[in-house]
This record gives sequence, C-alpha cells and structure tokens, in this order.
Amino acid sequence: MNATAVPASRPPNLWVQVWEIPLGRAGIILLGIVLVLSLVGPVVFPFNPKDITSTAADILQPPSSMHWLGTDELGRDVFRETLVGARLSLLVGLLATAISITLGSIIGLLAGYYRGAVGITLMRVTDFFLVLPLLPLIIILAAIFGQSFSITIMVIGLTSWPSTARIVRSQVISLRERQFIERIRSLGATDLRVIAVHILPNVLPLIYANTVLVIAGSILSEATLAFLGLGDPVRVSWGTMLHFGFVAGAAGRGAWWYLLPPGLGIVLVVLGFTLAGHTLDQLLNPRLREF
Amino acid sequence: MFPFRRTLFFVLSFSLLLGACAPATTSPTAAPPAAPTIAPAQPTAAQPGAVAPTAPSQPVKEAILRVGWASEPDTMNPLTTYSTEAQEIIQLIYDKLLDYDSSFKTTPTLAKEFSYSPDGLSITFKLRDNVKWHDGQPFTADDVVFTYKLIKDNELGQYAQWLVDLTSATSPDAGTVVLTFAKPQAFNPGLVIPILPKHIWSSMSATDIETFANDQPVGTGPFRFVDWKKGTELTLERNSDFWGSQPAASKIIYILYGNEDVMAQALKGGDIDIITEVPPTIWDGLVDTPDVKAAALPSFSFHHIGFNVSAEPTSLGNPLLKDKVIRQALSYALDRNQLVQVALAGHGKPGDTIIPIGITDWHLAIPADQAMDAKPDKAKEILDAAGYTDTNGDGVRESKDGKPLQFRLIAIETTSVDVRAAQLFRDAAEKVGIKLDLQTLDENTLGNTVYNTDAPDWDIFVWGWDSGVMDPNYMLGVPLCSQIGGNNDVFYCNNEYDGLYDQQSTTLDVAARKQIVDQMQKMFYDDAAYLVMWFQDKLQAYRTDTWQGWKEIPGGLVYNLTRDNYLNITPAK
Repeated sequence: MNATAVPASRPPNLWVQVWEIPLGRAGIILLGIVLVLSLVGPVVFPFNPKDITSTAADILQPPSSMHWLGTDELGRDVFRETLVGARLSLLVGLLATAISITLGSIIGLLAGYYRGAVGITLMRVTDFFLVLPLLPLIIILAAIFGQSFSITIMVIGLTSWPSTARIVRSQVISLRERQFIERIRSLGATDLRVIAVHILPNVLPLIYANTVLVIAGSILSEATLAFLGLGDPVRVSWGTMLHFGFVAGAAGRGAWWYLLPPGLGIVLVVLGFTLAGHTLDQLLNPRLREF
Repeated sequence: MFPFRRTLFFVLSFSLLLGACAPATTSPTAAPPAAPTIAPAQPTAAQPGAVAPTAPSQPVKEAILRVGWASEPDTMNPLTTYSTEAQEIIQLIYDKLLDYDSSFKTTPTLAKEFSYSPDGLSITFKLRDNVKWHDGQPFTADDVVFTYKLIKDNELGQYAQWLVDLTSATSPDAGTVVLTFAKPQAFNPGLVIPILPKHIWSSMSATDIETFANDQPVGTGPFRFVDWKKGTELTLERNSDFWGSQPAASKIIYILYGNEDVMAQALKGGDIDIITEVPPTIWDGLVDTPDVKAAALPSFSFHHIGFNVSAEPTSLGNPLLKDKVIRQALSYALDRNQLVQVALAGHGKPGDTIIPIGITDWHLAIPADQAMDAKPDKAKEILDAAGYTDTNGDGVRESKDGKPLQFRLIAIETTSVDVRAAQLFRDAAEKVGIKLDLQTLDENTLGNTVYNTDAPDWDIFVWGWDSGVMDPNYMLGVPLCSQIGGNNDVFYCNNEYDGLYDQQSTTLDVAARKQIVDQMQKMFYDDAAYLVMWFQDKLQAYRTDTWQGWKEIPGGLVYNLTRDNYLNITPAK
C-alpha cells in the first residue's frame, strides 16, 4: 500500500478505517442493508399506491401469507409500502442534506475567512438561526409554503445549515492563520483561490463527516413533518405511513404491523448514519483525532 | 462539538415518533390534567354507599357524565356559532319553543302547545308557566318575542333563514306568542330557535352580538353552564329549577382530546363514559371491548365533492368546471361503493342526492341504472362526445381550445375519511383522463378558501354537511342563489331551483311538498355541482358499566337534534 501518494489531509482507505471501528462497522452494515432493500426491494416487490381495495374486509388486516406485514387503512400491502417509503425518506434526507451542507459550508468558509463585517454579519445570521427552535420553525414554514416533496426538502435544507456553518468556520479560522496560507496570500493568490484551492480541501473531511450526521437529522425531520401531517400527502414515505397509521387509529387497534415497519426503518437508518457519522467524525475532526 | 440545538431536536423528534409507535393508552400528556380529579367522583356515583373523603357526614349525590370530544365549541353564542360542539352545549343550556323527542316527533318545550291558524299563516304558542332563567329571572312571552324579532330584524346567524317570511311576532298576553308569516310555513321555526333572555341580550346592538362570546350563557334548559377551561374541559351542572323532570346526571363534563385514537383509548380505560364521534378504523377497534358498546347509527349527514361553479368574473376557479359535462363525467367515474368500503371501512351508504338518507321521509334515492356512479365508460363516452379528447397523448384530455382537464382538489388534512376519499377520487378521475392535484389543508384554511365568495381560488373540494333539522329545507336551502355568501359552498345558482324551493317551503300538504322536493333533488343531482359521496354512519361508543338507558337512535346518542338521551340516562347499577 502506497500511503505517501495520498494527501496528508485525507487519510487512506477511510471506509476501511471506519469499518475497523466496531460502531462504525455496525453503522455501515445497517446502511448497506437499508440501501439494498430500498433500491432492490421495490423492483422485486413493486408497490402501486393506487392499488386500493374495494372491500372493507381488506383494511388493516394482520400479517398473512398474502401480505407479509399486513395491510394499511386502504388495504395496501405494508411490506411493499415500507420498501417504497424507504426511497422517499432517504431521498428527502439526501437532497435536504445537500442543500444544508452546501449552504452551511459556504457560509462557514466565508465567515471564517473574512473576519470583518462580512464574517460578523454572517455569524450573527447563523446564530439567529441556531437559537431558533428548529421544530416549530420547520412546522411553520411547511404550513406556510404547503405540502410537497420539494418544499419539504427546501424547508429542511434551509433550516439545518447553521451547525455546519459554525463547525466549518471554526476550522477555517484556525487554518487561515497557518503559515502555508499566509505564504500563498503573500504570493498574491486571490481570496477565491485561497478559499477554494487551499482551505476547502482542508475542511472537506470535516464537512464530509458532518454530512453523514446531517443526513440522519434530515431523515428524522422529514419523518417528523410527515407525521404531523405536513408532508406530501400523495407520496409514500415512512413519515406519511406513520401519519396515516396514526390517524387511522392503528395504534389503538393494535395494528403494530402498520406502525412498526416504518418506525423501525427510521430508527435503523438514523442509527446507521449516526454511528457511521460519529466514527467518521472521530477519524476526521482534528479536534477529536487522537494524536 | 456536536451542537446542543441539534441534539435537542433529535430527542424531540424521537419522542414524537415513539409516541406514535407506542400503543396509545391514556398517555399522560394527552389526557387532560383534570381527568384524575374527575375519576374519584365516578365510583361514588356508581356506588351510592361510598363516602366522599371531603365531607364524610353527607351522602354524595354526584353523578357525573363524562363525554369525550375531539374538538371544542367555537363560541357559546347561539347566534354566531357554526360548530356541532357548540350546538350540543347550547341545546342543553337553552330551550326552544318546541323540540324533537327521541323518535323525532315534535314535543312541547317552552311552549306547552301550539296551533296553526286556518290559513296557515300564523302559529300560536301557549307558553309554560313558572319557568325561570338560570339567573333566577322569570321567563316571559317577552323573551320569545324579543328573540324572534332580534333574529329577524338583524338577520342574525343560521336562524335567520327560518324567519325570512316572518311579518310579526307578538304576545297578546303573558302566556301566548303569535308568529305571523307572509306565506304558510311548511317548517315550524319553533323547533330550531333557542330562546334568549331579553334582560341580557337586549342591551346589545347587532354588531355587539356578532362579536359577543357569551362566556356565561344563561338559558332555561335542563343544564346550567359552570365553566369552560379552553383546551381542557367544559362543565355543565343540572338546573335544579328546570321546568321538566330532573335529569339523573348532576354534572356533565366534556373533556377535550387532541386525537380521536387517544379518546377511544380513554373510553376503553374508563376515563370517560361516551365518545362523541370517531373515524371508522378507530371505531372498529372498539367493537369487542368489554363494557363498551360501539354504536353505528344512521346520520343526517353526508360528505360531498364540490365544484366551483361560480359565475363571478372574479372567480379564480378553473372555468372548465362550469361545463356540466365534465362534472357529470367525474360523477360517472367515481365509485361510491368503493368510497364507502375503503374510506368509511364500510360504515355508511353510497351517496346520491342532497337530502341525507337519515331523513328517511324526504330522501330521494336514485336507482342504480340511472345513477351517475361507477360507470367510467359512460364518463369517457360523454367527454368524447363533448369534444374533450387527449390530443397530445399525455393521458390528460384537453378542451377544444387546448386547455387540459386538470384541476386542483383540496381536502381537510385532519379529516382522514376525506383525504382517503380524495385519493380514490383522484385515481378514478385519472382513469377517465382528468387530472386532479390533491392538496390537504387545515380546516380553517379550507373553509376560508372555499367561502371566499368574491374571488374563490379553488376548483374542487371535499367536505360534508350535517342537516340541522329533520326537514328538507335545510339541505335544499344550501345551493340557493341567495345563499351565495352564506351556506352555498359551490356558488351554484339556478333560478328554477330557487323557485321550486320557495314553492315547497310554503306547501303544507306533505305529499305535494314531497313531489317538489324530489324534483329539486333530481335537478341538483343532474347538475352535478355536488357529488354526494356517502351518507356516513355516526360512529359513537359508550361504556355500559357507568350509565345506562342510552337510546340508539338515528342521528346519534349525542350530537343529535334531540337532547333526550342526556335527560333519560341513569347511573348503571
């Protein structure tokens, strides 16, 4: 193995390193299972949301050989629904995270690099969003802008960036005082070049680790919104399944087969991302790295 | 480095989700805080021998009826309310001149008898003596005259529609009231209008009344208002001065639950004695519970799909919906039996005309072969014939000038039966080449959107009506031209229909009236401004071990047009 060819800021075989830590391994295994199920599952067990029953006898039926995880309040197969729901939950999580991380990183980079009025202004905006209670904010935004797939993504993405911005900024502040940065600046490099070519690669691992953690949060946020009835009512996600299960009284009827699969799905995915994310964080965050 | 804020959010969202997963027994956060203090009183009611800890020497006569509801009254003002919950309280606090008994026959209330004049133009009421208001003042004929004049002169609230033809309200002597009308009245307004105390209401102007909360309602009814802790519970107590026989319940407490499933669990657990109404899937879960009787009763209600047919040039609805053919095609596309089976889990009857099936004497049933129902091929046929074809091959038909048959569909997000129905409707429409975009809104937003009379910005909605009276007048009166700005939720306006309405409401001969009423139902059905989806059963449940004597009557044990059940139940042995 040729370790010298790899830049010092990015350790070699990152996922191998994560794999070697038990918790990280558990996270990777969990995520692998969920990913495979959500990608392959709906192909093998296709789910048609319009495949609604026309007899009351099919509603909220317990698991049987026909329906492995029973049926929902419209008589649809919960097993297939859960597999499809995974896709939307993951997709919303990933897309919202993309928005959140991009926004957070840019603001963090700028705020850390320009420490004058620009930095102060950006950080006060960040602080403002940071102290706002996130859940009520998301609920209000979702209620104002309506319920659709894209709005859910935007709302989550636009409210979850401040922590990333804070983390990135603190790292940038320490980096910009380093000698190599000062040398590059004295050679006449533009700010943009310094940030993009020399600082960004050094904070990327941190962003990388943070991303995995933000995904977990975004998936939870999506589920929360959907559970509260603020998700896209016509698409199946784990959150909307929980919502419709709850309003249909699945809990009171003891229809565990309707609530447990999406609930467990969320727990496992979030657990997977959190375990993997924390492990990555430990490996990549200079403040947590053991020297 | 892990920010505190996000951790907190994690915990918060987790607990929300876990709350959803855990079987909802009476969760301490959902149950009203007052529930524990109520519970001890109940055993004393059930076991008269028990002794209250606070007053050991006195026998306890408390017999509390605990009612669970999932939403609160909007106000205690009978002249401005629109909620079922407020009606329920108001009919216990206030008396009308006449009332319905449990078989929906007219029964004397504040009037001990009444008679029509030979020409049918005036009704004379003989009033009960020695009736007192809850504040001790005597009730007189003046109060009745005042109430009728107040409503008539200021066109107040939902009751004004019954007094359109009223020309005078007089009291020839202290025990008599005479109402005179310009036309004969097929419906006796004495059955709906609560009598208000003149000594309290006369000092207010009409504008004052419209904003009056009536926080301490004073009536003559069997129960007196005690207090209303908003968001928690509302308490009534027995009126010891009531003119009729004393009800067995010394107190009624209405307890608010944030969720119907939690309410159903509270009934199972014995925290409440009766639940007002629950969705079908939750009701099914109560069927085999020991000591609980789940009752599915015919109702005076329906849910419908409404089309914005406003003729106002400022209407922002899709103008294509003014074409009857498209509305009829959607009616043909819809399978109402599937709606009942799936959205209502079988607890109702497929819908057709506008008078609910529970109002048996007046409902017009459309025979299956003539019904615009579950015939998607017929829908395609009439759309093709009218020139709505899919010219660009995207699966959605276009009008001749190229406008796609694509409409917005809105439903109340918390009314799960409507959301399910809307999903089914959308799928059914898609099969005949009409695209519907479903959006769910909260109840108030939907109401404000729909009733934005000047510039209604919507195409199609789903919601429902409860008939406030056992008479066709109420439901038939909704789609009148004159009700645009009032109850008319689709802005339908048809002068022929309006003419028939006036004719039937002044026809005293029942058979002749029935003929006109049928004609109106058929006309409105054919115009398809409403697609009546179903006549749902009223799904209620009560404990059999705390109170007995509940009469399972059409319209419901409670939330009904009659208050008889409240007056006649007794503590279980």
